[in-house]
Amino acid sequence: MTGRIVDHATARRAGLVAAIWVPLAIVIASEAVIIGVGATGSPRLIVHWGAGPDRTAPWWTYAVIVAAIGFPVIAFIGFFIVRATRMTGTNPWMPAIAMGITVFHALGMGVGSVVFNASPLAPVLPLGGGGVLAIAAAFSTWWLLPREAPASTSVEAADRLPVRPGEVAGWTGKVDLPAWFVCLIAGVAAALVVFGVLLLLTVGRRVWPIFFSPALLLVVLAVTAQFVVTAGPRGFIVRSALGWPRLSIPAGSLAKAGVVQIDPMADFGGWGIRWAIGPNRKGRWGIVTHRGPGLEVVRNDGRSIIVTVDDAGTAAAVLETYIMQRT
Amino acid sequence: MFVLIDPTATTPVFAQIEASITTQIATGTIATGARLPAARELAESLGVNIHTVLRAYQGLRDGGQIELRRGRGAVVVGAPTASRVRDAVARAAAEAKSAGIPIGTLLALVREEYDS
Repeated sequence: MTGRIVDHATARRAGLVAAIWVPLAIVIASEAVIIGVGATGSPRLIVHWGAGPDRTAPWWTYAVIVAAIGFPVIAFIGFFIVRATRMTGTNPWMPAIAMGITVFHALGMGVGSVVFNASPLAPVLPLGGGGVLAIAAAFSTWWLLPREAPASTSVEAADRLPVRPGEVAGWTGKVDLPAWFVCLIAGVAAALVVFGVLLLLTVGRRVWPIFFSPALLLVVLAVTAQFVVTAGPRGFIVRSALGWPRLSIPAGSLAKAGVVQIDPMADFGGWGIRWAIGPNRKGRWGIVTHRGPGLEVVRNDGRSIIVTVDDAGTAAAVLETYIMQRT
Repeated sequence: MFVLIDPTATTPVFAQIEASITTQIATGTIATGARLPAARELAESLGVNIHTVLRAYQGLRDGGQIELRRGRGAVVVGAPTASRVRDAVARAAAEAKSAGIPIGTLLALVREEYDS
């Protein structure tokens, strides 16, 4: 048995408490303990990193680490949970991850390392114990959080086209990332390259790994900037303009196609290629680049994919035509 | 872009695709400056050979509806037809039907008028 079934607002409130407020309280309480114990104890503490037999660092190192990991993690996960207003309620994996990370680094690596800071317990007990505690905290968070009831209705199937016997209907469309977004990412990558070249000239050749991140950005941008979507007698195909990644669902594996109103932030927590738990509790992929009507294609096993194409209604009607012809 | 064809009809499939796209450009459904899907994608959606689609695209280019540019694909240059012309065509088609004139004859008459 997992958590109680409640309405959407209650499930969402509980998710926000578990992902933001409880981790925040844990981080602040951990800081208090670390500062309280650390300031009165040994000035140097055993740490689990660095070289040499004598691996120690000033006691306040742990206070800095807990703050430096804790607050950004809470802000990062909190940001997505706050914006993803429609997706937290049915499967609270995000609060569970927030809780797990917080317990591991604040209680295990932070408080644990300061309290148990003598051989042979340090640094194995705080890290190992923290890991066990973190898994337990994440799992019980996921277990105990209340769920919202799955939506009784999923996407409504489109009307089929009046295709006569022998006729074949085909539809092609595109999903484009907004031009300003492409420019923004390309600009960031260009700035990183310029920065990297400057470092290369001033610091030397050993900074070359700095070019990894702009290269990665540009590859991801090239892969996701445009997707091509086709619908017809062979089923549904979506693929990147580069050819990969590609997803093909034959007409025989299609259960339903229809138009849904999509808000990328609320439904998927962001833009681009996304995965989220849908209202029917099944996972759904999204290639979502703008708010508005999108095409939802549901497979026989209940999983679905949503693409925000223009003229989604026609695409859904074409697919429905070939779903109906199967039966 | 939506295309409906009938492979069992006597009109060749490439001509049907060409006609479908021409009509959509004439009615403004496909805007001037828009890019048509790659021939491979359109062929895939309809389950036809890519050369069938390429032949339709060549027909559209010869008819002044699109430009085929290397690397840029098929760009629509044709503009929506004035509704007066479409109405006149509709009247001519209706007259031909009621008089029992086959489509081939009507097209031949239109071509002769246009070229004169």
